[in-house]
Amino acid sequence: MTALPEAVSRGSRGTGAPSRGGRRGSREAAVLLAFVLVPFAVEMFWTFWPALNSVYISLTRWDGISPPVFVGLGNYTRMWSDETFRTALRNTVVWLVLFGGLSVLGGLGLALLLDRPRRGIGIYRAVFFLPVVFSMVVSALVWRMIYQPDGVVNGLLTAVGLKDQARIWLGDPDTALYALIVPALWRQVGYIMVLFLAGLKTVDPLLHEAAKTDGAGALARFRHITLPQLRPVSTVVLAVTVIDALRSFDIVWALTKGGPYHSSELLSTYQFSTGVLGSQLGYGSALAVVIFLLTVATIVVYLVRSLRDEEAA
Amino acid sequence: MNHPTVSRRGFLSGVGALGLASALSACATSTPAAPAATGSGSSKALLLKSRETSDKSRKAMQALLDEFVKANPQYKPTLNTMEAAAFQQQIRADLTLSTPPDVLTWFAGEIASNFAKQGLLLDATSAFPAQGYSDQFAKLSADASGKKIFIPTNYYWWGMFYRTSQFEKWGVSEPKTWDEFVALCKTLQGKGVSPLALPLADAAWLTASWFDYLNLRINGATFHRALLAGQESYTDPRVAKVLDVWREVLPYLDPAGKGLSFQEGSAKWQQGKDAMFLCGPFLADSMPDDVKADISFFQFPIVDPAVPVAEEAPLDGFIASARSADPDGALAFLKYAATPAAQELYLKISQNTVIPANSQAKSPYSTPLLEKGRAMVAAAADVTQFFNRDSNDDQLNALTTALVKFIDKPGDAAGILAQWQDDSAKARGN
Repeated sequence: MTALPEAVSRGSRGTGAPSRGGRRGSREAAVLLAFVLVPFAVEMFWTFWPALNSVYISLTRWDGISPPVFVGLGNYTRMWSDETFRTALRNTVVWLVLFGGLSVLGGLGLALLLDRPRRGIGIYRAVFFLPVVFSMVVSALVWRMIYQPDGVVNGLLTAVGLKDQARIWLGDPDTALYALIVPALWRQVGYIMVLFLAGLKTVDPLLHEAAKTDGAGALARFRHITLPQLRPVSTVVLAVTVIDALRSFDIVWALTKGGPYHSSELLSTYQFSTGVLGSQLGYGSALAVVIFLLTVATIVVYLVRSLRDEEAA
Repeated sequence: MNHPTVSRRGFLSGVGALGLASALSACATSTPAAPAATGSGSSKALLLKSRETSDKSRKAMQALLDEFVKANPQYKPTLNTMEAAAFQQQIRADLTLSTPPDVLTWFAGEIASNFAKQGLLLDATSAFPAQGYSDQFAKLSADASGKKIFIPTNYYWWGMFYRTSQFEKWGVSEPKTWDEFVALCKTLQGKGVSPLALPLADAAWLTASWFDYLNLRINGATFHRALLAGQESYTDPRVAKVLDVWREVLPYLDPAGKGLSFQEGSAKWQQGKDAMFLCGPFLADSMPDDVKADISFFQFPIVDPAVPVAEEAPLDGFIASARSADPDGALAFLKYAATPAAQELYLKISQNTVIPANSQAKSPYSTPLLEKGRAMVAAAADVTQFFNRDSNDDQLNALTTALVKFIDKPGDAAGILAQWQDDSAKARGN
């Protein structure tokens, strides 16, 4: 926050008369204000206004052509009795826990392993980061081949004598969701790893040195030095993970489209197939509002907690 | 506008206007009113919006416009091609625009009828030729009040596709009735061949073809239409009968189908690993010529001989917007598109494996396969489109959920049908 006045005063330096400088300063303030207000106005028009509109649409029954019929909270009460919605909600929670939890643990583990400089460390890091670079739809093509009835997974299982465990991973309602989490994790772990690697760079090595001298073991140092020092980056990681988990869509859509019979449906894919591909714009908008509330709620809960912790500390 | 360069102020005011316009139109649910008067001034521009994106189809569409201009030089038509899925999403918005595309590619069925009910489609009765279209096609081109709203240009058909050389190798022949069909499946399975291809990984909608045909063969087209329109329930015992009959051949479906994409499934069928594929001729679109020459199909087997035979023949063609600035131009183009010459020209350049809808038009690349399809549809007592064309995509969603589950759990038919009825009614807003 201190950068702002400094930038302004530097701008007015060398203009000679102080009165001129004052006018110049207010002019620059106006320019700065414009820099804030214009993007804000654009954001209002293109993001918030449509978002508010979709809240309104969620209170109607609308097929996109005929005039919308106001139904109050009808779309929201419909969700209670909607089997598919409940499946999608349950799957989204499973996804949040498994995808979120495992990608944070995996990313942290990899970051710790690949933190210390050693020969070829760049190559290892690059290998784990590589999936992030690929388009998810392209990755999906590869994973589709891996999961095919005659694909790699079933081939391996047969080779090691577990032929009876071979199945149609994406076509079986018991396995489809988990078969989708694996490629999603495969990608996300590399991303989280990079965030934690950056965080680890901020840990002062002197602290470790001192703790080592005092006789602290590796585990104790990790718990009492590394983890607390990672707190700021952890907040970012959590927000990113929650958002990524709740908006996960591409891999599911590319591989199963939420099927077979909604068994791998997430809220995002259900929203897409009802509101965008289908013609139930009201119900689709209501689903979108629910996704939005879930995301905001999860993050707010975490932020409030971490702020309280900081105050307590 | 004399200024060749855009001044900054002009640019900014333009951006402002754009912002204002977007703000106004952002009242997303408001439908702009139709223009009060249709301008008959100097502008004779005509916009054709097409969802035929393949290179050859695009050229064929352009050729239609070029040929149209030769006879009607007062028009200046432009072609706007959009990818089919995006086209489908936008057509509702397109038709409610105050300056809509004049003519659009579309298909016969429930959605077009709905557009007509909303008053979005131009009355094309004057462009519809008295001769050339079969009664079924004429009926499918009309709205509830009987006025024509759609000009059919071509169609395809559905059937049980097989490879002639493979059938010869296995020593089997085309079945006519359901019992012969089940026996054929059994024979093939005995020879170690998977009888039926049904790839579901990315094409679960293919299950609709089985449902449509079994329902048409068992309960007839009238019940089928009433069911799709929501006037009959999926919990009706007649629908349960459809699943009962289908259950007889479920053991003959390729079990790997659940994990195969359409492309993988059709490749497997091409290699002779699956014997039969209930599909349209598009199945062979990307196959080599020697395979295309080897392909044949038979009519979906007759289950109940007392039920009049109906076939699925999805019709493609054109609609025109009721808000077209130049309805005369739009009608002139529709009139041209209905002629045998136009339909032959289009198929000649696009080389699609479809049949011209005007019975006076000849297929430019006639093959035995094409003629067999044409004869089958011509002999049918009734013609349906396809499940989602006769209803909509929300209803198709409810169907795929129910039927893929049924393939997995054939013993659970009652529960599945109850759920289907529930999903269907909810999607309809009841």
